[in-house]
Amino acid sequence: MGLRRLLVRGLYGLALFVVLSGPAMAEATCAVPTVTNADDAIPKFEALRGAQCLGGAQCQTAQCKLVSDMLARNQDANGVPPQQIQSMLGTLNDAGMSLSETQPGVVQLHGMLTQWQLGELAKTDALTAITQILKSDINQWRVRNLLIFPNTSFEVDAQALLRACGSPASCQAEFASLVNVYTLSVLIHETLSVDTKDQLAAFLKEVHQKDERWTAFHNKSLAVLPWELAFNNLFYRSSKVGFSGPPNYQWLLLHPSAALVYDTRQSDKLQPALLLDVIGRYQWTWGGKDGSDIAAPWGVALAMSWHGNGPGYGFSVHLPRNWSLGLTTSHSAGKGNQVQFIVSSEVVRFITDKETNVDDLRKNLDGLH
Amino acid sequence: MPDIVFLIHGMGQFAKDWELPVVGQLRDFCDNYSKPGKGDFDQRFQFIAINYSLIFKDILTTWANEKKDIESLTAQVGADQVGKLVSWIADENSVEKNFFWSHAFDVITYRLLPTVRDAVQVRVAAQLFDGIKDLPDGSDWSIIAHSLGTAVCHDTLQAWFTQPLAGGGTLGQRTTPYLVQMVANVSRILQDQTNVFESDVRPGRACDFYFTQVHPLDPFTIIKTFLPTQWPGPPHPERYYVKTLEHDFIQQANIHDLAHYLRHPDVLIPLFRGLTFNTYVTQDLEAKYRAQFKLHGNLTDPDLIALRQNLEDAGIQLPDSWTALLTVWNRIEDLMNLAKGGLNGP
Repeated sequence: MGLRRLLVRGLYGLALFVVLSGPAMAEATCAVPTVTNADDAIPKFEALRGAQCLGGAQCQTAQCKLVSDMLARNQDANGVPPQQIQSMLGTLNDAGMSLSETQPGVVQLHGMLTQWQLGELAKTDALTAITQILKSDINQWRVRNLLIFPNTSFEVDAQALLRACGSPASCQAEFASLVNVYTLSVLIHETLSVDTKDQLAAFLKEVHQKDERWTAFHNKSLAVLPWELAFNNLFYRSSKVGFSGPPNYQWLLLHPSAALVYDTRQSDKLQPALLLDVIGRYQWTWGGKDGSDIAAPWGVALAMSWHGNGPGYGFSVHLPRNWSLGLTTSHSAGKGNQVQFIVSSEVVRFITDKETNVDDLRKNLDGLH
Repeated sequence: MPDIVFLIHGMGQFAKDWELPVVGQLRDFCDNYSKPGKGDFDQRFQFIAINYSLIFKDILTTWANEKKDIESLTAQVGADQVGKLVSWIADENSVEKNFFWSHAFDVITYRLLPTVRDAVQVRVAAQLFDGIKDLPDGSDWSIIAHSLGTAVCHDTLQAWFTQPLAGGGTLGQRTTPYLVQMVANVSRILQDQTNVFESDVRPGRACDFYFTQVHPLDPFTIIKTFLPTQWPGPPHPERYYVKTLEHDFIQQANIHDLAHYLRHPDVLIPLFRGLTFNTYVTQDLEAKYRAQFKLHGNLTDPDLIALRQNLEDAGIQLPDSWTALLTVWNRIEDLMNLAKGGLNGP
């Protein structure tokens, strides 16, 4: 047998060993260790938690496997039927209620199960059950470090309980009981979380959309200058609850922009100009792929213009594609009243491109003859 | 899966990986003074840096670009008044060099402009949620926030706790941080619509544990100091930790610095015990750390005396409002210059 073949067989055998012995190794890691005193018990309990043994990915109890299978199915497109979630809650409720209240943490577990009426929830119709779960504070079931049922009247501080344990036997018994209670709390939370998964996915989308909208509001809209930002903040109110998104409008205030004026008297008919929106309003709808881009913006403002002479007064219109148009009149002693038509460089670029296109088309047509 | 600890920075611009020196400092402590010892830190914790400073930078860059477009044109077309209007805006080069634009701007806009404040909270919330969305049950997440980051952290968690969800319930009923460690806490002086003493950001609501330490010479935190003892309602003495550090804890000019706070045993030891368990740092290891800890670092006596005097002066006669922060800027800038002169770190 060649060396290569030996190597391949060896690797195959190793892989098979890893696959087959995985659960067994996890069981060994997650087995309840021998504890003798508080100093010993607390780090060992914490280590089980860190190793995902207490209801986590490495837990190999029958209940853990049931929940784990359900969570795996929840990754499928069809998800988990509500009835199965209810059934799982019923199973976990029964498992919890079967524990003896003489052991630490079990009275509190029973208190939580009773308060949440998990047994009843398992028997009610699916819609009522989901509605009830979505409105509930399921965070009460989420263990936090060494706290079980945190911030409820049934809170169990595993660290405090283990610290108070007396003899090695009592430490061992308390440790084992707390493992059970902790694990059940994790499993119940995981089961309830199946129903709230879509809620959180929706929030994730919403918060990123708001983030992108805020970026657009501050950096990609029109009224972005400091005094405009301050002025717009006078009219802005944050949500009383939760995260706020930006408005879909802005007030324009003393907003200057580079532009061009169309002057028939000059050989080069387009002369540089400055357009100042004195006061106006700019608004848009949220569009784009994720609904976070500024779409269909438009605005109007009372405006001033400069193009080398005295200022002109009039109005401006802002359109999509950064098109801005202005019509102002200025007065000078020698020339009387004059009307200026002002456009942004994007308008000029568009017209120039069109002219080029028309010229190209004409040349092409001429070439055909 | 390790527990996640988010780091929220203070004022100023922060680049990618800004958290690495801080994490290194914390790792060194755990390697040498935790019961599990070397190697445990990276298995137990995953540190994730939050960065909201780009919001301020983007705004300043947008302003600088607008200014650049306009300024040259104003002289050409005779619009001098418009030129004056934009002249004071920082151009791109001065943003990083000028203390006002690089640091104070963040604080002012965060305090005064709700659109910026809300944008920052949303940015931070998005990063927090990205970090925890795949966190399995049984793993925790906590936050260490510094300076302006403490106000940002407070406001973000208040919005987080009350955020309604589609179908019912709130985000606070789904997940909340385990421990919130506020370093150089300015959440009270920068409070806006939510009073920090009445908000939900307290143990038992938007977090389980709340730690904060006060340095009596830190000019940013001595005005309207936030003390959890002033929380109304039933106290949670076992769930919060507040400690006033020694007046003479001066190892460098910038005592407001996150790294400076994170050297003190009354910050480090409660933090890691809180994140893990009480004997993670045993009594013996605590005694060992305290024995080698030098209140003044490597400062010489003359340097210490000079620094202490500067710091005491920086806190004199400050108004009892957030505008006091404006008053201390110049004093702080002087201290920063001292720091650049070599008095920055043991």
